[in-house]
This record gives sequence, C-alpha cells and structure tokens, in this order.
Amino acid sequence: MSAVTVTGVLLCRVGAEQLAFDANQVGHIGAWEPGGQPTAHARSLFLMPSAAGKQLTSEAESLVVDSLEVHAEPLPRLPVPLALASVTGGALLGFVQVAGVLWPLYGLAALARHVRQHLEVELS
Amino acid sequence: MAEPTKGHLVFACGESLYGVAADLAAEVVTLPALTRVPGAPGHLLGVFAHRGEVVPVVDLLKLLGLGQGLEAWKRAVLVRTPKGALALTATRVAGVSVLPLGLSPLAADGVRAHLLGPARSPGGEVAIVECQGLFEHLSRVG
Amino acid sequence: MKVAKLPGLHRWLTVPSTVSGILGALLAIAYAFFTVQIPEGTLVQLLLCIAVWVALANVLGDRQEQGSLRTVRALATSSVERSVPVLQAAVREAAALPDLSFQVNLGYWCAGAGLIGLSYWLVPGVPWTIALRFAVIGVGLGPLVAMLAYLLEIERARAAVVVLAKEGLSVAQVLQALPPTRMSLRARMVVYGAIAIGTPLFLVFDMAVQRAERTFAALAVATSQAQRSSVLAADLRQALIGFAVVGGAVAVVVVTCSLLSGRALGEPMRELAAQAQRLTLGKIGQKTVVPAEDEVWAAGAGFLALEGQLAVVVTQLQAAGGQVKLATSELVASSARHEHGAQEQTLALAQTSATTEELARSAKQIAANANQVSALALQTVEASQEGQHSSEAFYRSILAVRGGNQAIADSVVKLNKRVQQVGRVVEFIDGIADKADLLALNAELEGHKAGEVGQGFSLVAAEMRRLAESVMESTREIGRLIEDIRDATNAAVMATEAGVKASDQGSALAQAVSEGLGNILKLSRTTSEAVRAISLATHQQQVGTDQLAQAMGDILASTRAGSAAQAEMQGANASLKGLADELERAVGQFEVVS
Repeated sequence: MSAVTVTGVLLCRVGAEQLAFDANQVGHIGAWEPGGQPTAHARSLFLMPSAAGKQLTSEAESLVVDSLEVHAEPLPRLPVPLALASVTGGALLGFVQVAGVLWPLYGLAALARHVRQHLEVELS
Repeated sequence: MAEPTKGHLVFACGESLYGVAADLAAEVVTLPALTRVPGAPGHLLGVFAHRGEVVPVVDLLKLLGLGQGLEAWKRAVLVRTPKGALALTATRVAGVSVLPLGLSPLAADGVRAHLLGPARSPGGEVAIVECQGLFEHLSRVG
Repeated sequence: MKVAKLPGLHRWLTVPSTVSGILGALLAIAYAFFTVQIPEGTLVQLLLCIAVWVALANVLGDRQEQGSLRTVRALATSSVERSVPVLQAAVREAAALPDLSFQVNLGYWCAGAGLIGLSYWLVPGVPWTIALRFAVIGVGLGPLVAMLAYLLEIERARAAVVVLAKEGLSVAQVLQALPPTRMSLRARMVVYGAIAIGTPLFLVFDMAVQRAERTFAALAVATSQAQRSSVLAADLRQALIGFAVVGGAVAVVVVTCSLLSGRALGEPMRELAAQAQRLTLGKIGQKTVVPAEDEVWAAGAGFLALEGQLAVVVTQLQAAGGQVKLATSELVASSARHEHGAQEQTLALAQTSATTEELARSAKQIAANANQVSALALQTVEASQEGQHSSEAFYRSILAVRGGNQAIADSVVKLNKRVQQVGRVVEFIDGIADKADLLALNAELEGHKAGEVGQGFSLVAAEMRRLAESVMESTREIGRLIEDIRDATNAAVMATEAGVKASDQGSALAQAVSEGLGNILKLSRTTSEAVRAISLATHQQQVGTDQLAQAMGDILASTRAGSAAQAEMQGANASLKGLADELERAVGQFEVVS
C-alpha cells in the first residue's frame, strides 16, 4: 500500500454529505447565488436542488458546494477500493481521514466535468 | 470416504444464513458511521476506515434483491480477498461451522453465481459466499 | 178743569187773575147800581172811567204777573234749555204766582178804585161823596177779588208745578226748588176768614147805611103820610131787591171762595191720602208731587221723604230677601250636593275601610310570611355555614391529596431517573457484552484459523460468546423490564400528574365552592338581615296598617255621624228656605218703582 500524502485539502459540505478536494487543484473560490452564471452543482450528485454556495474553479471547470473549510495539515491519501474505482467517471482519487471521519477526495475538474456531462443533463 | 469439509463463519442476513470461508473472514466488526460515496451503486452502503484501509460495505439483501435492508447495520463480516477487503452486513453472526465443500452455485450467472450451496448446518441451510468471485463481480458492477 | 200744557203755560197761569178782576168789576158795578145815586148824565163818563181803569189795571197787573213768570214763559216758548236749574226756577215762579196775584189784585183794586173815584170826581156835576163811594166800594171788594184770584190761581199754579216737574225734575229736585219752610197756613186761614166774613159785613153795612140815608132823605122830602108810606114801601121794595141781588152775589162769591179754599186745602190732603193708600197697597216709589202750600206742602214733602226712605228700606229688604232666598237655595242645593257627596264619601270610606281591613289582613299575612322567610333565611345561613365548613374541610383534604399526589409524582420521577440510570448501566453492560461477544467471535474465528492448536481457544471463545450472549439476553430482559418499568412509571407519572391536575382542579373547585358558599353565606346573611329588616318593617307596617284600619273605622263612623248631621242640616236648610220664600213673598208685596 503506497503511502501518498496530500497537503492542503478543501473539506466541503453538501447538505449532510461531505466531499474533499486537493487544494492545489483549486484555482479560485467565489460565491455563487441562484440565478447566477450556470455552473455544475455538487448538490446534483446527491439529487438535491441547487442552492447558494461557494464556487470552486479549476482549469475551465467549476463546481458549487454549500460550504467549505481548508485542512492544511498533510494527510495520508487512502486508496480507492476496487469496487468504487469506476464511480463518478474516475474522479474519486482516494480518501482522507480527518478526526476519525473519512472524506472522499475528488479531482475537482474531473468531478465538475462528470457532473456537467452526466448529472446536470439528467437534472435538467 | 468422507466428503471434504471446511470451517465457515456462518452469519444471518435477513431470513437467510450465509457462510464465508473462515480463512477469508478476517474479522467480525461493529460498523461505525459510514461515509457515503456519490455515484456508487445502491448495494454499496458506503465506506469506513479499518486499520488504515478503506473498506466498502455491501448490503447483501440489496445485492441479492431480497429487500431494502436496514437503515443502520450493526454488524458486518470483514472479508479479505487478494484484491481487497469487503464488509458484508450481518443481522447476527452464528459462529464458525464446518460445512462441506464442492457445492454448486445457486445460479448460472449474476450475483447468485457466487453463492454456493445450500449447505446443511445446525442452524439451517447456509449459502456459502464465494468471496473472490463476488469481489470481482462487484468491481465489474461498480 | 183744563189740563195744563207747557206751551202757553205762562198765559194759562194768569187767566184766573184777569177773570177774577173782571168778575170783581161786574160785582162792583152791580153793587154800585143798587147803592149809589149816579148823577144824571154822568153814567157814560163813569162807565168809561171804570172801563179805562179796569183795563189799565188788568194790563198792568198782567204785565207784572208775566214779569214774574219770565222763566216759565221762556220754557213755554222753548227759548231756553230745559235744564234742572231752569225748571227749578220755573217751578219757583209758578208756585209764587198765587201770592203775587193776591197782592197784585189787591193793590191794583185798591189803587184802581181810588183812581176811578178821583177821575169820576173830576167829571162835572159829580159830588165828591159819590166819587168817594166808588173808591170805597172798590177798596171794599178788593180783598175778595184778590182772594178769588188767589184761589183760582192756586190750582193752576199747582198744575203748572206738576207740568214743569214732568219736564225733567225729580221729586227731590222739586222739593229742593220749593223747600217746605213757610208755615203760614194759620195766617192764611185767618185772612180767608176775615175776607170771607168782613166783605159781606162791610157790603151789607154799607148798603144798609146807604139805604137808610136814602130813605131818610126821601122821608124828609115827603110831605104826606101817604108819601111817606109809599117812600117807605118803595124803599123797602128796593131794599129787598138790592139785598137780594147784592146778598146773593156776595153769597155766591163767598161760597165760591169757600169752595175754592176748601178745595185748595182738601185736594192735596186727598191726594196725600190716596198716596198713603197706595203705600198701604205696597206700591212704593211712584212718588208724585202733590203740589200744595205751607204745612200741607211740608206734609207732602215729609210724606215724600218718608216714601223715599221706605222705598230705600223696602228695596234693601227685597234685595236682602232675594239674597237670602238665593243663599238659602244655594245652601239647600249645596247641602243636597254635600249630602250626596257625603253619601258618596261614606260609601267610598266604607270601601276604603274594607280595603284597609283587607290590607291589615294582608299585612298580617305578609308579617307571618316574612317571619317564615326570616326563619328560612337563618336556616339558609346555618346550612351555608355548614356547607362552607364542609367545603373547607374538603378543600383541605383535596390539598392533602394533592400533596400526596405530588409526593407520588416526585417519587415516580425519582424512580424513573433511577430506572434510566439502571438502563444506562444495563446498556453499558450490554455494550460490554456485545464487545465481549464480538471479541469471543473473533477469537473463535482466529482459533479456528489456527487449526488443531487453536481448537481449545475456540472452545473457550465459544463459551465466552455464550456467556456474553446470555449476558446480552439478560440485559435485553432487563431492558424489557426497564421498558416496562419506564412505561409503568410514565403511566404513573401521567397518572400522578393527572391526579395532581385533578386535585388542582378539585382544590380550585373546592376553593370556588368554598368561596361560592362564602358568598352564599354572605348573601344569606345579608338576606337574613334584609329579611329581618323586612320582617321588622312588615311588623311596623302591620301595626301601622292596624292603626290605619282603626283610623279608617273611626273616620267612617264620624263620616256616618257627619252624614246624619248633614241630613239634619239639610232639613234645617229646607225650613230656612221656606222662611226665605216667605220673606221674599212678604217683601215682594212691595212694588218699588224707581
């Protein structure tokens, strides 16, 4: 088991669910209001309607989450079990454990793209 | 000549009894709060960290299409295969029973192709879970 | 006698004076014819003298008389207003005329006779003795003529007074014009008598003297016896004729005078008698002037005053009688009305008395009822007091129950807490058992994996699992028991809470009941006091009503007595009315003409 560490993680809340992103991949964090510029919503991952939140931007993709906090300490990245390797189009990079709680770590651009290509269409 | 037998960890999930080869059954655990993974199939209830490892939890009832399963499973049987670990939800763990080997699968294909049996045990008929095959099946489906 | 009228009254009044003068002249001529030897050839002169002087005397006398009647003439010719003073002056003039006529006639007769004698003496051939004879005859007959004129005049004067009085003078005004002050009836009667007796005596004496002288003269001339005898016879014859004529004339005049004087006296007396008779017939107030002179006039005036007084008295009496009758009638009527009213009043009082007795009975009944109500009110007060005591006791016991309930609830809550603690301990034990079970399970699994070596370990682990399972079974049992206890304690808590609530409600109710009973007690005390006051008042009212009934009875009795007295009074009034009628009838016999 390769021990990869991740330094700088954005711990994001979406409703009662939770997502984590590698902070290094996030270019810009902005605010997003309903009726604003159309963008991918993390809420659509959990089949929830969109709401105001923070807009995370990476490369040309961006994703809106409800709220976020930054974990700056280096964390070991746990590998994805084989059974979950293909979910969300391979956007799941692994897991980080913060204070006993397991957070799924995603690639922001890949997840945003997956949401934009698969889920937004379904929702809309 | 006596039929070849092997020790199996027998557990109940819903109405039925299932058996896992004792050498593959790593541990019986009490399930902690699970982390849900978006986009995962319904029988994958979530993941939890166990001894530095992310273990996916499989709801056998949902997997076998036997019901909606429980909201909060208490027990799970941790199965370790060469390609990874799995936790199978259990209503009750009966203990280790010696069950015959060489049983046929319950179905030709699908998930039930990885269930062998039925094998007779003091608690009733037991379907033996062919863990490696199930793991691979799950990896394909996931 | 001619009825007097105002127009020409002054002329009419003076006619008798002229008539008497002419009659006197004729008488004098007749007398002279028998007693005087008128010288030859002087008869015409004599007659002329007589005619001239008689006419002159008449004219002058008439003029004097008319002069005294200026006011009467003015009235008769309507040349003056008929005012009271004018009429009074005219009355005075008319009444004074007879006396004036007497004086005028006497004076002019005497003066005229003297002037006739004087003027005749101036005629040639007339001896002074003859002329003197005429003067003496004139003077001798003067009083008689004057009296005749007076007596004739007096009737006309009286009539004139009546006529003038009718023109607008009351009796009083007539009396005022002619105050009855002159009391000369005796002197007048003496004068009448003297004239009535003296004149014939004078005439007879004069005639006898003249006859005797003539006879003596004839006898002295007569030479023979036969002559003397024839002289005497002729003289006697002439004397007889002369006496007869003159005596007759004188007698006629005297008798006429006597008649006239008697009438002058008797007429007003008769009139007065008639008036008195009228008074006795009850006709008062038709006061008519009875013209007269001297005492008779005074008597008439007194009579008139008496009648006036009588009229006043009778009028007053009649008025009083009328008033008495009216008052008596009203008295009788009002008495009748009063009696009617008194009867009604008596009836009403009888009804009122009956009503008052009824009221008294009712008051008695009310008093009895009020006493009963008072007793009931007292009972109510006692019952309310008892009820209040009971409700207070109930309230206290409810409070005690509430306290017990609260204590139970507290105990149950404590018990529940303990049970929850036990539950937690049991859960803890259960958790440990579960972990032990899990450990034993894994140990059994590990033992089995170890093969033969781990078989004993597996057995121990299995034993441990059974132990853990029995512990878990026990904890489940305990858990069920705890659940039961929790349910029971919850029920108990609920029950005790309900009990507390119920006892709260009960205590509130008890308090409300106690307060209500307190209010009832207060009210019933008030009621009792009020009823007592009512009872007292009713008792007083009853006493008052009894007194009222008694008073009403007394009033009724006195009213009945009054009614009887009223009836008696009505009888008295009726008899009074009879008396008043009688009085009015008696007074009504007098007819006062105003």
